[in-house]
Amino acid sequence: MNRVKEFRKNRNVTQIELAKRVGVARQTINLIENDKYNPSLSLCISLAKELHTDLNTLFWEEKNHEE
Amino acid sequence: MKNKILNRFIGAVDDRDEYQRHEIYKELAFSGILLWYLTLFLMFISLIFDTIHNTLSFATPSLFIINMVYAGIVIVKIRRKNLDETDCASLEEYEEKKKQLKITSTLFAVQWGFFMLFFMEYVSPYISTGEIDVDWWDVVIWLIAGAFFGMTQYSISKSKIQKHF
Repeated sequence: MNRVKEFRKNRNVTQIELAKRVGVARQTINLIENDKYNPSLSLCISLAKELHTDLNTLFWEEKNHEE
Repeated sequence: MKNKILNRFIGAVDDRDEYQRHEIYKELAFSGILLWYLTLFLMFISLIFDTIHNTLSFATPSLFIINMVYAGIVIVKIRRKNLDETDCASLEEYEEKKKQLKITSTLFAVQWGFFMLFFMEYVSPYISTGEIDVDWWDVVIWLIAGAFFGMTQYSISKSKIQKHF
């Protein structure tokens, strides 16, 4: 499970706001948060930049389990 | 340009994002395949009606041309982008893929040969004149045609298997 939802909530950003900032639909953000869609690398980078984190923290599952 | 056509076709006011485009392409591709089979089926029905009335209507050749042009464009575009190639990393994998191809090509050849024999020598003359007159030579011709069709299918499919060893 990725940590997009956790980071988005920590930054008090709604799904629609995040979607507008990275240039996708709200539905896409919802699917990414629920692990129902694998985003492209460019979208992953955009999400990481918007949420002020890096790709590993946001998407690397092994690291998430360790924590 | 493609985005404009896509938006107009699905009735969207702005560009779709990557997930939406992915899903739209999937749906359009599947409905395109269904539509292709539907036009093929309609062409077949139209051909039967033409045979019964001993004529050639506008619909039969039109549907045939549409089918062939559509299939040709799709094949060329897919081939140009190498989307139909299969990579083999070892000799064993290559031999396994070739074996699979031989089986499918043989089945395809038998299926096609028997269908053509049945349709051209039995169904078509029967609905056209009400008489069936098949000799061994006709059977041999369609068996050879089936074998040729299967071999062509095999050699085309084999050319898509890439050796990387």
